[in-house]
Amino acid sequence: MILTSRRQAFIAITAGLFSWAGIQTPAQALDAPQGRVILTITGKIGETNAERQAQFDLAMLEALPQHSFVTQTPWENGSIKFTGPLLRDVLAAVKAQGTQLKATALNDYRIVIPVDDDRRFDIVLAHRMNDQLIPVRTRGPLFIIYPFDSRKELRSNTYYERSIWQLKSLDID
Amino acid sequence: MRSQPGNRRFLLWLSLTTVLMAVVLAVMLAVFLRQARSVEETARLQTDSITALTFHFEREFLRFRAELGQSLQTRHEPDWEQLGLRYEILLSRIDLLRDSPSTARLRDKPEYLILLPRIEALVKQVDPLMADPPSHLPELAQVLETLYSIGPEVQALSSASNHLVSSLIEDQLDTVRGQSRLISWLVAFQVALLLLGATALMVRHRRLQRERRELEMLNDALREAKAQADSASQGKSRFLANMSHELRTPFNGLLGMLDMLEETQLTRQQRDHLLTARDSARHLLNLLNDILDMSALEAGKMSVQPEPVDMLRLISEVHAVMAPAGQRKQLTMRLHLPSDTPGPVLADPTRTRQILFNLMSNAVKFTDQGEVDVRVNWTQHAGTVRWALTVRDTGIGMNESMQAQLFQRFHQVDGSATRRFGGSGLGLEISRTLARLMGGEISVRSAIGEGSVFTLELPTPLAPSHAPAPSVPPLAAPPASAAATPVPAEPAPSPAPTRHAESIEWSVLVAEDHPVNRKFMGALLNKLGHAVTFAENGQQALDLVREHDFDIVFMDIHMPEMDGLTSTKLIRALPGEKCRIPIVALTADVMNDAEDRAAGAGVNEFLSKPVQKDQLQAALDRWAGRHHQQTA
Repeated sequence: MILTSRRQAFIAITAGLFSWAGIQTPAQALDAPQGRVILTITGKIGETNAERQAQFDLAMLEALPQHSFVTQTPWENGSIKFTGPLLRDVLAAVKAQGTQLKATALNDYRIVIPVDDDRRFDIVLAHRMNDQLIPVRTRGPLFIIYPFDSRKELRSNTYYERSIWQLKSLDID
Repeated sequence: MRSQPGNRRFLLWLSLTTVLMAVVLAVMLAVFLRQARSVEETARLQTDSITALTFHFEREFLRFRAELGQSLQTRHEPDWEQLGLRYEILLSRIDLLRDSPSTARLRDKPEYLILLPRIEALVKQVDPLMADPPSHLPELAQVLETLYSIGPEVQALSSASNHLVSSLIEDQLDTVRGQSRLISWLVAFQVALLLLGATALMVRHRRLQRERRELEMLNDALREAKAQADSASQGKSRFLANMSHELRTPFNGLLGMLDMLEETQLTRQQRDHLLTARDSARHLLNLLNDILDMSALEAGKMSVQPEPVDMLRLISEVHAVMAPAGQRKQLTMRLHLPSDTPGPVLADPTRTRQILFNLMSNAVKFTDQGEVDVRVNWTQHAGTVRWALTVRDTGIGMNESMQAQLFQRFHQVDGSATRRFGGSGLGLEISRTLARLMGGEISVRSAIGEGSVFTLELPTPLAPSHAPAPSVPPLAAPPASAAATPVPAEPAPSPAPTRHAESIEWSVLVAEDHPVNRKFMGALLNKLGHAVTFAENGQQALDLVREHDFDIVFMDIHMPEMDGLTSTKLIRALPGEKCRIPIVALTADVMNDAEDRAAGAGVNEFLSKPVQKDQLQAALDRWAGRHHQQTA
């Protein structure tokens, strides 16, 4: 727990540095969403902008530092470029303090992601595939994606299962 | 080698088996890899299984249908946004069903082929309606009808995919089973091959062991046979050595009597016969001496006893003795001595003389005309004088194979020569053995018809400078300390003994058990003009010495009741002047230690039988005369 706190403190500082450097970041206190809410975070979080939950619209996610990588997936033929904030930046933004994430999709698919994954891999909360916003029809609007091509150990069922699409909410536990 | 082809065959089999094993292992490895790939494939099938995709499709189909039904029937304002979301999700499921690599196997199933065109047609119909649902309520009701009508086909697709996956898994399982069976067979084959190999190795090992055992047994048998042969040979040598006394005693008598006979009146023919008889006896004695020497060497009973010797003088003496024999054959006998002498050296004179005699007499024996040339050289190095004595003849010579056999036992130069030249065939072997005993060597150079060159090399240490002159009787030695007096070297046979004592009549005691020898000694001494008393054993001799005064005692060593050595010791223990009486030992023993033991018992001189008249006279002159002078 102490370690986790430290890491989060580090992330917070990093985020702070980014903001100080003038990179586009949200204000420290979580703003209320302006557009349609596409992600709801509940559970052990330190920042909220609604009743015991943090709500995000696309603009809020786009305001976080963006990250891209190209990888293959079992669901598509060929490689795809995924773009979005790192999961850990999103969690830092809400001051999450749990050990696992219960991720739920629009179709009620639920999977548990250990927070540890977030430390070991650069997991992206993608809102763009090949630079295009992702409609629900092509498994949008949010897609948790692991950099499968960067590590061999990632190309296993465990991580394919955790790559949840049509993400709706995260519950920090 | 008997086992070589077997060895090659074994190696061939070994490499064949190894190659076969390697091939089988390689095949097994390939099968394993294929199996691993199959398992991987199965895993991937499960990763995003067809059933999950069809199941999710069916679920979203039902949820959209239910949402649509509810939206059309509700009395309140319907949640059109929620319906839109459900529709979008359903569309994503349709896309996955159509595009995901996992469903490739499903796409040729009839259930899929029937359902998908209808679904796609429906989507084409619904898409524009969903842009503004409230204004298309009747059309949406129509869509709901269609959705209900294709419900069973959606369900049939689920069943078909379920069936497909189980048959796929079954196929994979069959493949894996087949591969497992193949692996089992291969492993079994491998095991059989290993067992076969192990058996072959064991059989081979057994055979090698048996062969080794047989070899060891053969080795043992050979060793035993050799030991038996050696001990038999040694036994014979020992027997001959022990027989020397028995053999020489009758010879003593025979030669003595022949000498005596020669002194009597004989006709020319009788004298001729007598000379022939004596030559034959001498020849026989030479052979006998060779054989006995050989036996002594064989039995390890001969040793060399170095004493100060004037080597050049010794060589001259031997040459002087041999010269007449050569001259009788019209040979030129040359002797080349170095101009200077190293002085006395330590050597065994008897054995050295024996070697020289052998080499020179061989040269004379095998040379019919020309010359025998003896050349002596010496070099000195760190207190050791190295002698090189070369005997060169112009005789028949030898080829290489003859030379190679020359020093072998019983060797005679060739069969026909044996008849012509005679000899025991032991002479050269004895000479070389003696030379080696003294640290020297004898070598030969020769060619057929060009004569032979024998070279004796002999290292001798320089004698200490205060040593008495060699080959000179130790006149200064007091006879009283007879036990400590060294036995002098055999005197040179050539110079005639001094005759001045011949007129003096000595009183001589002869202790001798053998009647023939007694008779011979008696005749010899009488002829020299001395009074002889006989004793038949040591005890009698002791008694006689105690009771009478004698000038000298000739003492046989081997006698019954009391032997000569004991008798000598007891005489030396007598009181007064009696203990100083000169005692000369006579024996037919050739063994070295016989002489040592005699000296140890206190005899003044040691004569070996058969005794010659000259030797007897010399001993009388040397001992009786001195004794007489001292006691007088």
